[in-house]
This record gives sequence, structure tokens and C-alpha cells, in this order.
Amino acid sequence: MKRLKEIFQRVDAQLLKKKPIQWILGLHIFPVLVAVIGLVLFLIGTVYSLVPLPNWRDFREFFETLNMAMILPTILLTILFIIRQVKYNSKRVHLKLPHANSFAMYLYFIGIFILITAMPFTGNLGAFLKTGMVLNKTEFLQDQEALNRGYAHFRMTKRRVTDSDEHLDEEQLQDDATGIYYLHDQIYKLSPEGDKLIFKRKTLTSGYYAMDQYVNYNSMDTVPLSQVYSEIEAFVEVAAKYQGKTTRTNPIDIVQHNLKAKKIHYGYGDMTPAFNHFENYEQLDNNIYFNEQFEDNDGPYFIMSWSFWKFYWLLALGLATLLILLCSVNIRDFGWAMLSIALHPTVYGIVFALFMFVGDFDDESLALGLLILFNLFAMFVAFGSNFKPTVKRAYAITLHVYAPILTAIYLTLFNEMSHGGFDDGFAEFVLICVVIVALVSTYAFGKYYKKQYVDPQG
Amino acid sequence: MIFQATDIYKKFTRSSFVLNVPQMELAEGTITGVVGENGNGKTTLLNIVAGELEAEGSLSYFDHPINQETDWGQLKLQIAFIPQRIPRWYGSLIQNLALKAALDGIPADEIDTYLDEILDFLGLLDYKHLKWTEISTGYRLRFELARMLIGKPRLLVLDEPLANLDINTQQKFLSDLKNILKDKSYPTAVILSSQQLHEIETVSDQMIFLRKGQSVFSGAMNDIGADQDSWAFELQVIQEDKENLMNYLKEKSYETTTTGEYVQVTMEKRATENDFLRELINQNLTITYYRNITRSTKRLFNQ
Repeated sequence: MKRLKEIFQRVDAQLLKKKPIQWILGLHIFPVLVAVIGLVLFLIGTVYSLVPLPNWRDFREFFETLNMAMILPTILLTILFIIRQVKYNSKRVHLKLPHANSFAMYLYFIGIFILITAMPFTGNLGAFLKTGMVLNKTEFLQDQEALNRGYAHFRMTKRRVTDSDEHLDEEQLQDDATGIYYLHDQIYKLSPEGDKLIFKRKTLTSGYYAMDQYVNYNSMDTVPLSQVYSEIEAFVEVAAKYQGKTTRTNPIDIVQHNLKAKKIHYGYGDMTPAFNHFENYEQLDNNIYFNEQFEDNDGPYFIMSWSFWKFYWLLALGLATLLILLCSVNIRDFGWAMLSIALHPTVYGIVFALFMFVGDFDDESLALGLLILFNLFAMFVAFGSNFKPTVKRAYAITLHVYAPILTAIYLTLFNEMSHGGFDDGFAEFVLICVVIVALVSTYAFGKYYKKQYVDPQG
Repeated sequence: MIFQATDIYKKFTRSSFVLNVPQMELAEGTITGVVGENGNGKTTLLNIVAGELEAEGSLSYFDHPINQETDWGQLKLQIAFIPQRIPRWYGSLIQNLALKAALDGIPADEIDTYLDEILDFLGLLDYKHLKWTEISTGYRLRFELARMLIGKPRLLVLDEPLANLDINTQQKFLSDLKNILKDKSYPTAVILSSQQLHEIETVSDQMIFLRKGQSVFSGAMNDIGADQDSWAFELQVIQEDKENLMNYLKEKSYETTTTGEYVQVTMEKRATENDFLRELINQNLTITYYRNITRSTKRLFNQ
């Protein structure tokens, strides 16, 4: 440990002298720490034994606990990084910084915040890669169809009937004309001709995509017996790959058994399945669900889901914007700006409410009109007025912080006014605009702050 | 010329205060003292000189007039401004100095030697591994001075550097300044404000006296009181002798002004300074403080 400390001190001193800006940014501390902790977490993620597949819930909870345990170190590392930047990368300490490389530093801040805040998920990455070596997504997608087609013949839960007025019996159940819809789940009968099976296609997985079409078999089906038998045979074969053992394998035997099985449970007593040809249903169900989650990037595998990341990095963007502000402006101006940022929505809300109270205005038009008015006023104070420098800077910081948020608000208001829908496509469009505005505004306001703090002010 | 200005004029909105300095020059190797009572514009003037505050007038730095195209970022690399309240340093003192040196482009393998030279010059070598919180106000100021010197600024602007320093530290600091200017490797001009008249006058080459924002005097130290045909002395006696002193001065018809325990005496130059002192001694007065302020800005305070 002592030796490590000595090595660090030597590297620290050398970097300070040779690459002072990189030293300020803590290139020898934060990325290294993230890499070391991330590697440890990654290894932990690969340690969990997947042969045979473990209980899904235990597996998921393990990674949830791991993620939770890393919240505190992540917050700590984030705070330490912010403190270092406020200490050394501040206009108050070194006039050369950060004005000289303000925008490059902002991009670095975004990167480092993504690294730090995503650090807890490296365990999940380890788990994903290891799972990828055990499970085969493509094979599972192919197997799903056979599993879902055959499942209905292997297990059915009974319908509980407790209402004494409903004198239902198995005969009525076999009759479509009863019209008691909620019993349809339990239909499993031969067609009048006796060559087809009419039954509810209950599936093992909750639905999936095949040939770019969403497939969900939870519907009534009428299938020739020959096809039923081949479905049963295919199921037995495929289920075995997922540790699903069946007590019966003969298709004719299975269908006959199912047709005779009692499918209604009267009263409140314990209820056994109408039929169950599995030796280890829970194991199969768990294994299929495991594969399904892996295929869908759910549970611990969420880190591979773009829908998570596309919004996640807004967190890093927000943190980076606040930090570059802290580094670029006087702490007193920053304080006033925070007050202004907090008060603006309040004042806006009050003015909006007053207008609505005194007149019959269109909500969206009023909201938009007031927003434009507030924006114009803030821009006038920040750029065109003779107010004190502190007031001007506070308004400029307010505009800077609100620029991405206002972009989202404006786009949403315009969208609503033009009766556009709020779908994923629109959400992604808003996201892209917000990111672009955040980057552009930080670049532009960086120039403004430089002028404010380097040039003499009135 | 390091800095030149004519007709510096600054008026703040919602304030009747006006700063007006018709002429000002800061030459290389000179120290300029700015004195005046509190609230008379010293800090405002220094902020203008340091490029922190905008003002009307014609200003030029290093023989380049200020205009719309001036790159203040570049210009300020040559101006070191130490404000009244020095922001704290984080980390060890030597680490901060090394960082400044590295940012200023001093080669990595020369930084240690370079810093040791500066610290040795200022007598700070033994304290370089301490932290900001472990050193006194005087040392903080001197370390700040050391940091400013790293960039070899051509203009040093110091706002009330002597405030909160004990008398020994004040003298040590001023002697540091004098030594810096003597050293040819620092082609610098210094401007500083202070309330410590005697100490400032001892080291300054020229003085600016401000009263209510107006430059009452601006010129070389030798010019102060050069046109005066009277002596001005400031003295203090023990409490028991004060009445005798006042009676004596009244008897001799000397013009007197009392400020607290101090008495300022103005007399025509018919007699010498020695004659005046001899008279006082003959009166058996116990003198605890005496200073000839004929050629000091102190005289301007009571005018």
C-alpha cells in the first residue's frame, strides 16, 4: 500500500508538471479508479454460475443489490470529481482556466460523468457477456415458436367456480354456446367431426417477434390432430434443451389425457392443474424466462438496451453543464443565478394563473406567449441592458441552464398546438434537439462568460 | 512605459461618487503608492489599472493603447492583481506554485529549480510544503506574490497588501517588493494602495493621493511638499505633558491640528527642524512620537 502511494505521488507530481490541465482534470485518478472498480465489478458479474441456469429472481436480485451497493461509491466519486474541478479548474483560481479550453472540458465532463455514473453497471456487462457464452439468442428465437405451439398441450390450470348460481359442469364447458367467456381459457375439446382439436393457445413466453411480426398465441385455435401431434413432439424435443422434462411423451396419450381432464374447480379448496405433463415445470419456466429476459435485454441485461442509454446520458449532460458553469463563473454570480433559476418558474406560474383567472385564454397559446415574453426579457437583461454585471450574469446563467429544457418545452407546445402525437419518434427528436441545444448553448455561453470575466466590466 | 493613462473617469450608477485621475504613469522598476482615506477611490483606481473595471479615459498598457480590439485575455497574462481578499489555495503551497509554473509553460524539469529560486528570494523556502491553512496572513500574501511572480508579470497591482499584517511583516513584504524591482529578471512596475503612509512612502517612487475620487496629488515622492514654504511635523507626547505642549505651541503661535493623540504642527521655515526639536526638549516634554511630514502625503490628509 505504501509502495502504491509512493508510485501515485510520483505520477501525480510528474503529471502536474508535464500536463497541468490533465492533472486538473484528474486523468490519472478518475478514469483509473473507474477502470479498477469497473473491472472488479465486471469480474463479480462473471462469477455467477450459469450452468445450470440459476433461479432468475435470485440472479436478478444479486445484480440489483450490486447496483444498489455501488450507489454510494458512485456519488462519492462524482462529488470528489466536482470538488477537484471547483478547486483547481476554476476562474477564481487560475485565470487561464477554463476559459481557454472551456468547451473541450465540457465534453470531457460529459464523458467522465457517463463513466462514473455507469460504473456500477459493469457488473451487469460481465453478466451479459458470460450469459452470451451460455445462452444462444438466435437459437432461443427459433425454439420459442415450437415451445409456444406445444405448450398448451402440456399444462392447463383449472378455472375456479365459486358462485353457486353458475351450475356449470364439464358438459357446459365443452359447449361453445354457453357464452361464458371466462371459461374459454379452459377449452380443450375435439371438433364435432373428431379430426381437429379446439383449444386455447396458451403460450410459454409472453409473445415474441418472428419475421418482424409480433406473435402472440393467446387465442382460440382449431388445429388438425396430426398437426397437434407434431407440435407435441417438437415441444418435447425443444423443452429438453431448456431442462424441461415431461412425464408423458406420446402425443396421442397426451391429447387423450387432456380431453378427459377436469378443467373446473368448484369451491375454495386447493386446486391442482387440470393437466400437467411436466416433471419440473418451475425449472423449465425459469429457464425459458431467463432466456426471454436475456433476449429482450431486461433485468440485469438492461445495460444493453438503447432505450435505457438514450435518456440515461442526459444525467451526465446535466451534471456536466452545472459543473462547467461552476468552473466558469464567479461563485457569487452562480448563487444569484440559482436563485433566478428557482424563481423564474414560480413567477411564470403566478403570471400564467393570473391570466387564466382574468380571461378566457387558450392554455397552449398563453403558455407559449408568456414563455416567449419571459425569454425575451431574460435575453434583454443578459445581453442588451445596462444592469449590474452580477444581474446580467445571473440571467445569462439562467438562460444557459434553461436552454435545453426550454427546447423540450417549446417543441412539446408546438407539437400539442399542431395536434401531433407524443410517440417514441417524437421523444427521440426532442432528445436530439435538447442535446444539440445543450452543446451549442454551452459553447456560446462559454464565450460570453470569458468576455464577462476577462474584459473589464462596468 | 508599462501603463499610461489620461483623464481616467469613472462614475457608478446610483452613486454620486466620481473617480477622476487626469494623469497617471507607471514606469518599469518603479513603485507607485496610492493613498487616501477610506472610500475615496483607491480600490476603484486599482481595479481600473488591473483591467477589472471599465472606465472612461485613454489607457495604454506596454505602449499599446486600449481599444475595441484589445485582447484582454492576453494582456492580463502580463498583469498580476492581488486583491484585498486573497482567495484560498487548495492543496500544498508548492503544488499550487508548480501548477502555475506548468500552466505558464515552464519546462517540467526546470520547475523545481525555478520555484526554489523564487521562494529562496522571498525567504519562503522552508514553508513550501505547508498548506494554506497552516500559514499566517503575511505568509499567504508573500506566497501569493511568489505565485504572481512565476508568470513574470510586467505590472503588479496590489490592493491594500499591508492591511492585517504586523509591522515586521509589512516591512518584510515591502522589502521583498523593493528587491524584486532591483532584480533585472523582473522588469515590473508596481502599484499598491495602503493606509500605512510611512511604510508606503519609504518604498514608493511616486505617490497618488485621492480625496473624494479626485487626484489631489500625483507625482514623484521628491515633488511632495517641494513648493511648501513651511515645516509640518507630527508629534505625540505622554498624556501628562499634552497640556504643556499645547500651551507652548499656542504661546509660539504655531498652527496646530489635533488628530486623536497626535498633534500636527505647521510653522514657517524661518527656523530649522533642529531648532524646533531643541525647543521642545527644552520644555522638558517627553516625546513619544515625532515625524517630519513636510514632504509626506500625510500633510495632505488635513488640508
